[in-house]
Amino acid sequence: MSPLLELNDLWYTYPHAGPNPVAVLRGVRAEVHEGETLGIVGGNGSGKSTLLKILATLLRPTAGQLRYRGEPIGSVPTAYRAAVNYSAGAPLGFYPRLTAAENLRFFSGLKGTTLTRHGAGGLLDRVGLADQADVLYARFSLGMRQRLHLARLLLEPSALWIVDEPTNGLDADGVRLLQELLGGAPDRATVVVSHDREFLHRIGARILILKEGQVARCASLSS
Amino acid sequence: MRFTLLLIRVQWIDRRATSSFIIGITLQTALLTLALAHRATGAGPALVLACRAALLTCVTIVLLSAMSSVQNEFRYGTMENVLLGRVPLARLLGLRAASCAVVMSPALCLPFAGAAVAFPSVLGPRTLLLIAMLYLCLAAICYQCTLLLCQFARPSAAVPWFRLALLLVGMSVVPFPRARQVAELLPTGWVIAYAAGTRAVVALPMFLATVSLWTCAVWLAFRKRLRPSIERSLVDGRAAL
Repeated sequence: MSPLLELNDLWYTYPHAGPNPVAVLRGVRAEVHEGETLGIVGGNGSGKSTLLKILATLLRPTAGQLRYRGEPIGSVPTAYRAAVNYSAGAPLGFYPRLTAAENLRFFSGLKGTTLTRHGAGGLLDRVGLADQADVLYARFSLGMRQRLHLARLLLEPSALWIVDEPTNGLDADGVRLLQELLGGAPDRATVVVSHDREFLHRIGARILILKEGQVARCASLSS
Repeated sequence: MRFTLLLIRVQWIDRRATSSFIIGITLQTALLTLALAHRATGAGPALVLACRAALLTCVTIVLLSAMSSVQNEFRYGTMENVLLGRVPLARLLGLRAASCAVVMSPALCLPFAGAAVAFPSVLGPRTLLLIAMLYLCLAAICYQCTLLLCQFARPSAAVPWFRLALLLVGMSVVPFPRARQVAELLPTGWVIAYAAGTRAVVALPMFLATVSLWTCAVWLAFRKRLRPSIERSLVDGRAAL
């Protein structure tokens, strides 16, 4: 059975990087299987977030190929994007002058079906923000913003979640909620960047260690 | 429909956020309306002055909306989710332009209300058609300018030049030789011609033709460059400047 997602020799060099550009990603190879969680760890500048953006098709790799269910993702990856949910994490990512409910309704509209106020309230309830539905995003704390990001991930079912530093700013209840959400759909795969190795261990993630743009190691955390 | 209403709200909030902008627009609209009530000698000239006053104010709003349509997405970090949504970016920008036209309604309609108070005969189907033409014209300009501004590393630096071009070419604020003919290259020139009642037979079809031609031309020229230029900005963060 082919993996859900294959990363074949991915290279990435930032444009406008000067006369001697250095590749941020250098031949990254990995596989993500259905229902699996892949945790990406590494130091600052190791290319973790760049790799997530490539997986979300927000950046095109300079070289190499991304394959979804065995098929290469083309230049217009409509089907792939429909199956993927990406969260860059707090503090940004929502309109600061809209309320939490309005923000959710807006982004559900971008996904194709605009939620009603009641529908948005239901999602906010799931992430513990039911009482903050009418509060402006600008007034949210970092943890509340992170919870709203989680609510956006729940807007529609998807085969793959791509999540960048989801535990940043979350309190213990928030981290527990995140764990429940990540474990809530057994067929869904997740690629998550986090500095919190304990959290990755708790969610049973397989770990990919990035060092200077290369895969230094890929194994289960226990090994 | 719910989504469009939300877009209108986002536009309204974004415009309202800058108090100096709101004060400036309110003052400009009020002053222009007062001036036309004092200067116009009859219903015909009042209609032309109202049309020019509405264009003068709304062009500023349109350009600001065109700039913020993309720039604010970077500032708020929402561009990633916009790009990954099911609504194609070019269509979303079109919807935003239409929302912008709705949001500028007070600045667009107030000069006509002033003209109607001074000269009640201004009220009529011709004025209503003129207002509809203005809405269409400004929404189209907003869309075209959004697509154009996406190509600039710093859209905010390009906006004053766009405004100057629209005022000089599209509205003939400086009466250079053949200014009227040059203005008729753009839909704004035909709106003013329709308001003035000159070349009344051709003004409406020519207006529709120029709106369609410019919108199609800009769309064809820039729709494929839209995504690469946004990706470039996503990478180096220039659009957030």
